[in-house]
Amino acid sequence: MLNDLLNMLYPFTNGSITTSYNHSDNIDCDSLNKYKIETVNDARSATFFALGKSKNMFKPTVLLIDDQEAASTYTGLTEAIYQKVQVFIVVMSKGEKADFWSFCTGRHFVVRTKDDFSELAEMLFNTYEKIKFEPMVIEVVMDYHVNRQAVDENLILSIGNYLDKSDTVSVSNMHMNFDVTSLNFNVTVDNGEYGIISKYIGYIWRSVNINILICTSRDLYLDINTFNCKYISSKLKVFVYDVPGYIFNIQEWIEANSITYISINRVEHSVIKDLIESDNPILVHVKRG
Amino acid sequence: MYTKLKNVQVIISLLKQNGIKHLVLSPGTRDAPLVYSVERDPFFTCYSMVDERSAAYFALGLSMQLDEPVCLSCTSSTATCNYLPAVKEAYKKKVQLVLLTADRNNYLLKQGEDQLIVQEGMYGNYVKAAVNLPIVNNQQDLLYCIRKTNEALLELDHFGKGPVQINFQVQVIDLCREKELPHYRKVERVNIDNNKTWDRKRTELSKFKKIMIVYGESYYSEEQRQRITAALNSFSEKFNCIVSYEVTSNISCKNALRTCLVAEAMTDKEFTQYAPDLVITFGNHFFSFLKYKLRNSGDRIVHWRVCEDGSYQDNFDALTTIFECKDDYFINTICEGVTTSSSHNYFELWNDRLQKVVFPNLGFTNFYAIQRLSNNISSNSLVHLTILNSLRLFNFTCKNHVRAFSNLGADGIDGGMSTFFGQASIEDDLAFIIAGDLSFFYDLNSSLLQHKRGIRVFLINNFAGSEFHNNFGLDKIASLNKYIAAGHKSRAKSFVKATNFSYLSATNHEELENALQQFIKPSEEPILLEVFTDAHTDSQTLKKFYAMNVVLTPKEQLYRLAKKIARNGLKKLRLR
Repeated sequence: MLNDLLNMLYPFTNGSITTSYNHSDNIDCDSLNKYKIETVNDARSATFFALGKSKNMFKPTVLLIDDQEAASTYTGLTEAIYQKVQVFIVVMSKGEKADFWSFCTGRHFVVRTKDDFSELAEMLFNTYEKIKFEPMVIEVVMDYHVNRQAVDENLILSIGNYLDKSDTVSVSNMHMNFDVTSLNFNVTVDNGEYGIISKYIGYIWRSVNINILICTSRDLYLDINTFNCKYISSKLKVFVYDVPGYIFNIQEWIEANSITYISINRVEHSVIKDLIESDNPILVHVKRG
Repeated sequence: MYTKLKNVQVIISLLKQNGIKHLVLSPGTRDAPLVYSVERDPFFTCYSMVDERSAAYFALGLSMQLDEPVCLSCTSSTATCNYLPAVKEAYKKKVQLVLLTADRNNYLLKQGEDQLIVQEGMYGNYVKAAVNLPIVNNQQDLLYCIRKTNEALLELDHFGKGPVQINFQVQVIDLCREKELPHYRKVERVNIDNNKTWDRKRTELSKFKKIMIVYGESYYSEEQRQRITAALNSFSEKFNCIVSYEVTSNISCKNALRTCLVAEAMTDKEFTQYAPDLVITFGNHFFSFLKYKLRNSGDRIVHWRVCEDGSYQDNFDALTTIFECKDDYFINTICEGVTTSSSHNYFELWNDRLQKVVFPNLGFTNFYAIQRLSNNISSNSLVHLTILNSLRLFNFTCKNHVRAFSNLGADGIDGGMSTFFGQASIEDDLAFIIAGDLSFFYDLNSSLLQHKRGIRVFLINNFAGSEFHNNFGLDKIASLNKYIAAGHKSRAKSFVKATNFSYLSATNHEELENALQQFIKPSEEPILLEVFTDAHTDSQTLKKFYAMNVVLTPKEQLYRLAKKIARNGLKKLRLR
């Protein structure tokens, strides 16, 4: 159905789709070949990017996101509404009710079956003059898949040698393929879409125990501006794993914000020891081989 | 004889001016002030029906027969709910019903008051407009009721016909003893089909002596822009007018003046000499404080609004007409038949004032840096300005015609960089963004995109938000940089290695000149030029610019001096 939708929208657009790497790499859709695909990884940024492009080309861009990213489009969508610039926001949705769309824009459609196309088609083909200054949100209820890397079991076990039951290891946006209940420390899993680093920094600000964050370079990418804050405590201990599509050179930025930066290809015991014992904030960047 | 309740008066006045005369009324106390007023006015034809559901269907049938709007009025609470079945049908069949639902004071909602339910928005998507008129306690309440009632009535027939709801709150039930019904301002909408109305508007236009066109944020294709320039030039010949524009208007013409250079600091008193009698607005938002001056003159000016979607926006509480058509269509059509050329003394008045604008010594500030850059950007380049100080200073310094953009829809700093990168993605030549540091670091990950070689980021880093230094200043709030202006220590320099930007920086006049040499030339890689200034000095310079260009009466000068003395003491004045 995504295919049919993108086909139907095509003549109204400027021929381009803005989307994140996770989607441009994953979706297999014939109609996508018609479009020029531009990768902008942060959905908030992508919404504004699509707005800018639509404005300069006098025709709407398609913004392709999933329902987890939806909340981040609120600000760009609002700007587009007030600037009267049309953007087509196509949302791949697992069907959970996202209630803010109707508050934001009057043009919100949900497509589950082919029959649902008729109202949208009616609007596009018969009354376009009426809606051409308004952004549109079209939710397509479908199954979509997002890749997730597996976390290194040895890393968790090795870290455990240094921790006790009041300490925590937080794993973000990575698969846990093994049992952690028998470990002598806490392991939490968080698959939040945004704010992983900001949340961690806020959480450890007043904590007394050890809290280690294991996350992906995507988590870092989306939250990269958070290091420009005054709350990087000496308790910060982070492992960042590079994931495809979100690889960038972070060393200078990390160090400029007074965080010790270590870059490795494989995790060794010595690195873990350094991380645990460090009195400074420390970030270990695990690059792909 | 009429009610003294102002919100009800507004409804009655506007129904009359819109020629809406049929009302189907159901019994009640809450709507009695409305009912008792209209039943004694021979203009109206009233009908009585107890069952509100039937009343609405009766009105539906009547309206379908007459092809005219028909009103309904009832008391508060579930009486109003009974209208819903017919409203639903009216919406689907595009029939014009005006639902005048009386309501109690909404302040008391859900607090145990009798006969009070939520009536705002109760008909959901089955009405084309739903407005809620409060009890009028002051002038602003009254202006709000005038605006909302006009808005609702204009939706009866806009992009198709349908029902609208005007909910009005009543607390005091009066016995309607006012002899006269006051006249309230009506807003009309003009389409390209209404030939007779255009004739009437042309006649009206000929009576105005000082016309100010205010051109808000717009963007046109090259050929559309040329059409508009030609149209504006022709209009400027025929009428005594100025065209107040900003860089984001993206237009140019003979009578175009960048009034923001003086409008920001102009006193209300001085403005009375420069005020227009007719304002015609085009485009979207304009940032200049001119809008506050016009709003304060609201009762002395007439406002015409031109917009392709015919949307309602009453910027100055002076709106009378919305022209739903393209910008050049309006200008050409309204000018039809005008052969004489007019005097241009209104233009000369403003132009003389603008010729007198002087600049202080800009030192090494954001003002200076932006001025130097403006002088070096070639015509027709794409320039994006982040909110808000970059936009303001560029408006003060830009000389060439460029294609300028800014996120003036909602004035956020979160997406300026990304919006620019989206715009610039289709540009072949150099494309510029003038950004403040808060905007740059907020939208930081957009810098990680692979940028085209023509991208030019001009970053003014004064380690805080400039706007807050302008609005307050360290002398007023010593801790300004802590939270309000979000002071920080970051430099883009430490981030560029992660990007594909090549990096330049400047901390003084000479370094800036050197950097600009490279910045404005084509290159292999996109360039980011970081200019370091001081936020306090920056805002002091801007304030000096305003102070040098404001004209005060001797009384105002004395008053400002007295305020200064009271605040700082005689010593600080350094009287020599």
